Amino acid sequence: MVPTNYYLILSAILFGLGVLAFVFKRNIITIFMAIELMLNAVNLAFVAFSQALGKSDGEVFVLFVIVVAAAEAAVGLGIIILTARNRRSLNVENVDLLKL
Amino acid sequence: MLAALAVLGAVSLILQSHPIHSALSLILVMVSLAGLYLLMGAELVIAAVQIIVYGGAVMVLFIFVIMLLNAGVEERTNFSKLAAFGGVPLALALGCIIAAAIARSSGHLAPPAVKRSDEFHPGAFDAAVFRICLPV
Repeated sequence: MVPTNYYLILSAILFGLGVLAFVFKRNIITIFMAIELMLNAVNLAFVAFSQALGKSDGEVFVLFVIVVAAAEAAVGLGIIILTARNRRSLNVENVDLLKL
Repeated sequence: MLAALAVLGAVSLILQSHPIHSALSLILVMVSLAGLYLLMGAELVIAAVQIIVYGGAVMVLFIFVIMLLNAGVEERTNFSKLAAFGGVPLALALGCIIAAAIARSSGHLAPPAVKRSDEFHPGAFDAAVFRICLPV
């Protein structure tokens, strides 16, 4: 059995890479993918703790996180399509005002 | 092994400049995380839901939007002076602090729980879902 620490370190690495992508990328779709990556890293930590503590509460939370992430992806991609139609660009540096 | 695959996919997500390559890297990350859940002996539901919802539904949405909007290679912008002199050292310092905190605290959780509480039997997952959803 692999110690819980390794899973937590992997989770931290994935979360850090997600933050890096969120900060450095210019494409709005890639930034959205970075958010999904961070959610996945948090899920991994939840499952690791759930296994370490021998309780299934963490896995229930993972289920809820997945539901929220799927709904969020649907809503967010709708907003992305709308802004891309209005501004004819996917670069976040062109999307700095709420109003056109 | 699967962990290395996941980290590789995440690094590739950052380095690729075309969004569709980033999306394919993200699929790699999600599938390897599902494999990790299976290896950890988590509930089968979690790995299956991870594959179906993330690997299937969410990524199809992403690829659909990428195709619909004709997303191309992102253009590079020049590195601002403020970022070079202020941001990079601060980010490095923050990374060092977090790494030191992780290194110092590792060992608290070192032994994996050998003893499972008797809550971990088939049906406990469903019971936990309803206990959290309906706290009567």
